[in-house]
Amino acid sequence: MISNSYLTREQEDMRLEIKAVAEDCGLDFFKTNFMILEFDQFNKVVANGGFPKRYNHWQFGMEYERYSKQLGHGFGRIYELVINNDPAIGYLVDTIVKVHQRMVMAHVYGHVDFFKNNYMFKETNKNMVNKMANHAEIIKKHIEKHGETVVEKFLDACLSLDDLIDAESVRIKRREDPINDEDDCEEEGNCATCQGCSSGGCSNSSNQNFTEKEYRIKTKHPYMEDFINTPEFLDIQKKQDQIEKKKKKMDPPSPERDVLLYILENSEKLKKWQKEILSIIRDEAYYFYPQGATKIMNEGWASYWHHHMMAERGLAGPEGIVEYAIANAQVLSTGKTRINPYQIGFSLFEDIRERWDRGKYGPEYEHEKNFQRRKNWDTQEGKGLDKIFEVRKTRNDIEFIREFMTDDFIREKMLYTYKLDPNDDWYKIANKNPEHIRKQFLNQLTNFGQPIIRVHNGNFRNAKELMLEHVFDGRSLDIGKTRKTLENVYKLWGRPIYLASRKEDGTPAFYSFDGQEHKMIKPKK
Amino acid sequence: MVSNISKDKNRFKDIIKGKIRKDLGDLIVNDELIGKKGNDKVSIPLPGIDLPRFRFGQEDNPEGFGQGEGEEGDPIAPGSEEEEGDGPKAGEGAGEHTIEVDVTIEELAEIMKEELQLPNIEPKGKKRIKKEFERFASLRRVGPDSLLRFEPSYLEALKRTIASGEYDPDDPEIMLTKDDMRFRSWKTKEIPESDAVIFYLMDVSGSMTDEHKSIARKISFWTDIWLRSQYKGLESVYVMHDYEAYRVDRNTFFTSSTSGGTKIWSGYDLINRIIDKEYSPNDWNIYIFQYSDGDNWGDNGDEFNILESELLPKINLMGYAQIDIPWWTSHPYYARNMNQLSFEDTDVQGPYLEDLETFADLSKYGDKILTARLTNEYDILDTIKTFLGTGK
Repeated sequence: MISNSYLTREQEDMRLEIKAVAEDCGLDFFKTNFMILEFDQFNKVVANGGFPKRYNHWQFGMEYERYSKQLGHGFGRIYELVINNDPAIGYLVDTIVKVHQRMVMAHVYGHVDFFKNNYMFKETNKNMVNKMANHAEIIKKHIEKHGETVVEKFLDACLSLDDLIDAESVRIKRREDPINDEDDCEEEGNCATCQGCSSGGCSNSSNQNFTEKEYRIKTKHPYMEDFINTPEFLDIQKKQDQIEKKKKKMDPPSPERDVLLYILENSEKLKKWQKEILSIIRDEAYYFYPQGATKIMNEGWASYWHHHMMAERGLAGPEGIVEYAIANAQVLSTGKTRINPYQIGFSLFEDIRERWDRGKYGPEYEHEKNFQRRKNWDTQEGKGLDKIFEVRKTRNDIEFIREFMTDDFIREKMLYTYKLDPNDDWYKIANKNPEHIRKQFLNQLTNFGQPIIRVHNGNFRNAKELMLEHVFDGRSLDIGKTRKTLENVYKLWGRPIYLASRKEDGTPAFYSFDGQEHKMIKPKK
Repeated sequence: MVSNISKDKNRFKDIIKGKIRKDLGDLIVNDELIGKKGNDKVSIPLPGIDLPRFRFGQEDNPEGFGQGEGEEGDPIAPGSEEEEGDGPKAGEGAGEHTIEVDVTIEELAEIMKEELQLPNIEPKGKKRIKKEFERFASLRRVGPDSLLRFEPSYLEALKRTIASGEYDPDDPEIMLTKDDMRFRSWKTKEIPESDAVIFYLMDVSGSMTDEHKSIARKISFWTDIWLRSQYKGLESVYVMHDYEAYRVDRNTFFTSSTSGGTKIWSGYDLINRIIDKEYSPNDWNIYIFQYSDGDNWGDNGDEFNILESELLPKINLMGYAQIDIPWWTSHPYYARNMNQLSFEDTDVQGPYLEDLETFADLSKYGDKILTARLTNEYDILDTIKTFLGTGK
C-alpha cells in the first residue's frame, strides 16, 4: 500500500501552474500523472523500471538492493523517474522543500515533451504500462504451467542476451520486404524449392541459367558494344553476380544485428512458450532502447527547461531562488574525474541556442579564424529557440555529440581525458585535444559502448550450427563473460555456437561452445 | 502495487545465500570481507551474480573523462585512494560485475550453522528467558482502520485545511482525507537475556608476522559473527602480549608488533584481572581465543597454574590457535633460496601446543580447552569448526 500517491490540493495547484508555464514555453507533452512516493517506495518503483506491474525476476530485486544502497537515505536529494507512456507517469520523491518539487515537476514535463517528440521514440508503444502488465500475466501463466525454476532459468538466458537487438532499426530497414524476395525467386525460375531452402542444402539451385546478355550495359549505338561490354567486363560482372547469388543463399543473407529475432525465427530448440517469453523480452528491450540512446539529450533537455522555467520564468519565486540554485548546482555538478551527462546535455542545448541566436554557424563563421571576431560574432539571427526544438526532435545522442560538441565547446568547458600514471600512482590529464575527446565520447556511446554481435551464419557446417561475429573496432572481448554468454545462446539455439572475434592486436579469436566445453580454435568448415 | 518487488527481493536474497553457501570456503579466506562489518550487517562482494553479457575486456589503464583547469600531465587525483562516488571509474560499460550485497549477521550465521554444522550454544548458568515485548509507541501513515487514532488525524486535517486557506473559523468544516490519517504503530523492545564477552589474546612478539595476524583476523571475524548471532549482547576485549600484556583496541591488536620476548602467562594474568574487575562469570559467558606461533618463555608452568586455578573455572571455552608458519618464510632470503630448503625446514611446530594439550589431558577443566594448528590459511575453516563446534 502506498501512501501519498496522489497530489494534495496544494501540489495539484503547483502542477497546474508549472504545466501552464511549460506549455507557454512551447513544450508539447502527453498528459502526465504524477505520483509522489516515499523514498523506499520510490526505490521499489525504480527497480521495476517504473512500471506498476511487471513480471517477476530476481534481477529486479537486485536492482532494488543496488538503488537503495547507491541512493543511500536520500534525504534532501532529488530524484525523478518518468515513464514513456500516454499518459506519462512522473514519479517524484516526497520532499519537504517545495522548490525541489517544483523543479522536479518542471523537469518531468521536459522529459515527457522529449518522449513525445524525439524521432527515436516514434515506434515505442505508448501504452506500455498495460503491455508490461500483459507480459507479466503471460509469464505468470507460464510459471504456473512449467514451474518457477524452469521459467526463471529460461528468463536468465533471455535477459543475458537482451542487448542483442538491432540498434539501428529505427531508421534503417535491413530486411527486404517479403514481396521483393518473391520477385527474386521468380527471376531465378525455381521459386517453389527456393522458398524453403533458407536452411541451406539447396545446392541444385546453383546451376545458373543466366546468359551473358544480363550483364551487358545497354547501348544505343551497336558499334560501341565491343568497347563497353568487353569480355573482361562481362567476366567481372559474372563473378560479381555469383558472389551475390552465393550471398543470397547464405542464411542470413547479410549479417543479422537482431540476434534475438533470428533465434526466434530459426531456432529448432525453442518451444512455443519459450518463444513467447523470448519475444516479450525482445519487445521490452526495444522499448527501452531509445531511452539509452538519448540519455544525454533527454536529461539535457529536461534540465534546460526546468532551469529556464525556474530561473527565467520565475517559477522558483523570490523566496525559493536560493534553494533552487543550490539544488540545481547539485544536479549539474561535475568533477575533476567525472563528467555529468546532465550537465553536458544542458550546456550543449544552451550553446546551440546561443549560437543560432547569434548566427554562429555556417561556412562564413567556420572560416573566421580571428578569435575576437569569432567571440563577438552576432548576426542577430534569433533562431536559437527554433533550432533547439528541431534538434530535440531529429537527433539521438551520437548525432547530437558529433554535430554540436564543437572544438570551441570542448575548450570552453575545459573537458579532458585522464589516465593513471603508474609511476607515481596519480591520475593525470592525458589529452585535451578536442578531436580525441569527441572520438572517445562517441566510442562510449556507440552501441552504449558495448560490442556489436551479429549472426553471420545460421547453418554453419551445414549442420544448423550458429556462427556469430563480433564487429571488431580495436577492442577485444572479455573472455570469461563471453563464454558464459555463449552458454546462454546455446540454451536458446540448442546446437553448437561459434563466435568469430579478434584479439586486441587484431589477430582472429574464435570462441565455440558445443553444450559441453569451450574451445578457442578456428572451426573447420 | 509495488508489493510485486518483494518477491523479487526475496528471490534475490535466496540466490545470494545459495552463492555464499557455495563459496563459504573461499569467503573465509577472503581478505576483503574484513572491515566490512557493520553493527548488524556484513557487506560481501560476490562476483558472478549478475547475468553474463557480451562485453569488452577491461583495459589495463582505461581513459576517463574529467572537467576543469589544467594542462596535459597535470595530476588531478591520487590513484589508490578510494573516493566514494567521485573516484575515477573504469571504462564505462566494462565494469567488473562484482556485486556487494548486504547480509545480516543472523543470515550469515545461519549459513555457517548449516555449512559448518555448528550447534547452537547453550549459555551456561542462567536460564534463557525471552524478554521481548511490544508496545504502541509511535504513529504511522498507514495501518488498519482499527488502529486509526482520531486526534492526530484530525489535527493533520486541520493543519492542511488551514494551510490551504479553506479554513473558515465561522464554519469550521474539516474533511479527513487519506493523507491525514494516522495509525498506531508499535515497537518491539528486547532485553538481552544473556551476554558474552570474547577475550582475544595474541602474541605480538617479533616472530609473529603479518601473515600470522591476517590469519588471526580472519578467524576472529567468523567467531565474532557466530557468537554475535548467539548472544544478544556481545563484547570484545583485545589483549596482546609479548613479555608483558596490554589491553588495546581492535585496530592496534591486529596491526602492531613488538620486538620483545614471549610470555603467555602475562596475557592470562591480565585477562584474569579484567574478568575479576569487569565481567563477573555469573553474568557473563566468557570466551578466550588465543593466537600464537607456539613460542613461550617460562619453564615453571605458571601459565598452566593460572589456567587451572583461575581462568578455566570462570570461562565457557578457550580456543587456542597455533599458526605454524615460521617467520622466515616471509623473509626475502627464503624466497630467494626456497628450492634449496627441504620441506622439513618449513614444517616446524611451536612447543606450546603440545604443552597445552598435555595439560588439558590432566586438567579438571580439560574439555574447555580446544586447540587447532594452522599451517596455511586453508586451515582456517577447520579451526572455526573446532572452536565453535562444541555448542558451549
